[in-house]
Amino acid sequence: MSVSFVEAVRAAALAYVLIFILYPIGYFTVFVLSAERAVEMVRLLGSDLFLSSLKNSLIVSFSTTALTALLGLPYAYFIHRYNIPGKKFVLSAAFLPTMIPPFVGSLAVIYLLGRFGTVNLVLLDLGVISRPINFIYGLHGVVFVQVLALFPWVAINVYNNLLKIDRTLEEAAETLGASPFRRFFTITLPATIPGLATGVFMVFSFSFTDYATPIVLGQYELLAPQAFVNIQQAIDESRVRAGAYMVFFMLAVVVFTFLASKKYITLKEYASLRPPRPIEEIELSGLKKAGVVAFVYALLTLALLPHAFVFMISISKAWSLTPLPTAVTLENFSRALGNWKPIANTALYASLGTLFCFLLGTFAAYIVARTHHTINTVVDAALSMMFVVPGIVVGTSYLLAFRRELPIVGVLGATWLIMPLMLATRRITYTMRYSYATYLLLRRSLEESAYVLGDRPFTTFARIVMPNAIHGILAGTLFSFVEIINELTASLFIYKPGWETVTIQMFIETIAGRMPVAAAYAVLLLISSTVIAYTALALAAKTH
Amino acid sequence: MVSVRIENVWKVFGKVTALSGVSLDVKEGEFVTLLGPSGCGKTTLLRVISGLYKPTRGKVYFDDEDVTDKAPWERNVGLVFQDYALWPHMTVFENIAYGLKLRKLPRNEIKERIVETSRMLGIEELLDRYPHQLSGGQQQRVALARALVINPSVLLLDEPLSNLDAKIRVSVRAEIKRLQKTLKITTVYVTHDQEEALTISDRVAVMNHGVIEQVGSPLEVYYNPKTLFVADFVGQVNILKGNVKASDQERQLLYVETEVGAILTRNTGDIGEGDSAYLLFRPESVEICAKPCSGGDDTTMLEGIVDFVQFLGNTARIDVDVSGAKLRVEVHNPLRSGLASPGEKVYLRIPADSVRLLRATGAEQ
Repeated sequence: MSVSFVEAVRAAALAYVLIFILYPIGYFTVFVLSAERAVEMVRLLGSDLFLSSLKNSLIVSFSTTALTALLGLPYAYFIHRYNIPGKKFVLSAAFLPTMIPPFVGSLAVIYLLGRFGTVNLVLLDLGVISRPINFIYGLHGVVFVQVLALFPWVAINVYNNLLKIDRTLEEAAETLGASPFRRFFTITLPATIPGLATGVFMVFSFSFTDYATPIVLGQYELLAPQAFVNIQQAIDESRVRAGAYMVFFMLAVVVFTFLASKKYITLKEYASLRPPRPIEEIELSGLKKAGVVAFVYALLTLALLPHAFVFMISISKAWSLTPLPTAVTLENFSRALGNWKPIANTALYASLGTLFCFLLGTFAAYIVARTHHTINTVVDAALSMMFVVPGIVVGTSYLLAFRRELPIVGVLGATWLIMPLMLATRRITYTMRYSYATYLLLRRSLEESAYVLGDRPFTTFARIVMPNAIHGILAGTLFSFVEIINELTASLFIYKPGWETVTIQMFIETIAGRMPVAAAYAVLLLISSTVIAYTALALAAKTH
Repeated sequence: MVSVRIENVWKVFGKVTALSGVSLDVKEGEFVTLLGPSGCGKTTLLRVISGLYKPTRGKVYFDDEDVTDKAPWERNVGLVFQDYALWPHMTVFENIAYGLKLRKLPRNEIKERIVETSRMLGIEELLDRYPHQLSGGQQQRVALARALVINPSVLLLDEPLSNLDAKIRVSVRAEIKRLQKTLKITTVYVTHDQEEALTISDRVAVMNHGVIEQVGSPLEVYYNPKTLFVADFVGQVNILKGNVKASDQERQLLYVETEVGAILTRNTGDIGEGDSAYLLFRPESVEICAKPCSGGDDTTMLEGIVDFVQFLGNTARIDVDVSGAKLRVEVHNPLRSGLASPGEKVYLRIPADSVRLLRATGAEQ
């Protein structure tokens, strides 16, 4: 055998990781840290605008992170522990806010809480106030939108963590005489720290680097919008550099936060191998029950309110200075669907990107799960890292690195292929994690028994491994697909006219003030994402 | 059918040496068991024979052909895994047919051979089922059928009975032995269960810490253990350390001074006066009496106090304190001989012929 199946896969995976992860991020780092630019960067980092932007960014991201933790933790704990009416719905509805780009929330919030939004108009009508209250224009508005969109990340991660706690852990504490209160603080809460840390990190990282939400709410004096405007809209190279420095600074903060919380973060813990014995649900009664149910449903309602409003905006014909639309229409949808280019682009890029995820995830996860090699470690680390690298960093790195002519591939940034390649690279982690977890569940002896019967590695992979792993791999691939069609923050940096995706078009429409059309796109996107995500969950359930 | 020759095989995983210079010959049609505690390297050796592991050093021959560098798919071995490794997405028929299809046999021949093999194993009714619809014992037979149907040069079995419950284990054990004799197939069997090894094998290779300590027939390894480890691992044994004080050339006897007093043993080796040695004797070879046992020449008489009694049904194990040392005695049919109680004074009689002598090298644990 000249080149074995495993060696071929390993080489291909390494080539992909080198070209599409290590090269752009490495190029970006070198670009920023080169001697003459480092001086320029230090000067920029000392400027008043930078410092005030940093201050605002930190205020927003810390507030958002703290509030999402305060809301997400009890939300997860309550639905895990107590028998809440409509539990299944409450559980799955929590995923909805994660299925459209968070900036869409600001669209809804403008109609709901804007100066002449529903709430202000109702209060004015009732004579409670004489002048509109500023609910959202300011840092507090950014925090509000982000908290509603991001608290599910904390809730989902903590909930998954709670599922892994074996009943005996708590029973042991109880038999030793721990009261429920003591048990919660000494056993249950410490056991959820990894999930909480993962959720909190994801929220912080997103909030700190989110530019779309602040821009839609008119808040430009934050780091991310500053960087975005400098890089994306300036023709002047010195402003691009200024933006790049800010992005690099944000990357440094995110990486630092990640490293600081790394010992708690469960990125590597792909899946638990044996389902633990679940904790028994507690049936609440009286005031306690009312309190718990009220908290869960109030939070869920608040989180889904933007979705309801986006839907209303999408079917509104005329809606100004009234609490609710005065006429409904499907015209916004026909305008959205009439501009078929973004939809076609999304379909093309997402299909191609998902195919890359499927191929790379399927094979790379297999060699990582089954063989030992230094290259495996590099491939695995690089692909997992993409989960942590913020979109703004990926966008900037790709923009800078692929506008140069490279051997063989040429100027990749000038062809639309860069879009699906970037999208696949940014969202590969989902396919990778699901595939890896699936392979771990598959006993190695299944393959070995094929080998001794005379089968070779590639055909064994096709005939024995794939039929047993396909559900898990497809589930991961579909999650990658959902995340690809919702990608905005990196795409906005590298797209060129004609390459607009649905999310980019939504952003363009929103900035141009054509909210109803943007909302129509958002509704279409949300429906597609929901259908695909639930298909993926059904597939994932089949693997067990 | 082939013979298997393993020559000075080493297998190193990072910092762990799993096999250190193992050599073993398995004759054509022979049933050899690799016996040892977990981590002793027996499964590693089996996987080296199958080709799933490539040895770090050393050679593996099938007949006179060097197969060391051959991949598992080039060796034509049948391997039954501890977890059976039946493919869950295939029926029993498809599982068994897999190896035959790879050998590009015509469809009707595949069918014939599967019918024949499954009849031999009593699973012909199960061919349409999926593995999850089978009991543990049935899965085990399917795994065996899948390995046997390709007419392997060597049959390898990795603890195939460990997932079955005790009663089924005994019957399947007998069946494997019967099949192997009928098919005359060269077989290497891995187990940590000494009873299984003794009942099923032509020869047993006792392994410890990556080396084979002794290879021999079940009788040999039981009655003539070459090392303390073999004596201790295969069956129960009393071990006493002592010095040879005197020898009686005429009766071929040695008097060995130990912590419980002088013990008589038959002089069979090169150990003589002044040597230090270990004395080994099996609990079942010791007679226990309530009064001084009726003599006979060439025996050692000891007295002690019963310390602990374990009643096991057909036998009883009695630990007796003799001058501070614990000696174990096994009594068959305890009802007839009567069970001693802790604290009771008893007398022990050890025939010189049942005491083995091993030279103390100082390297023992």
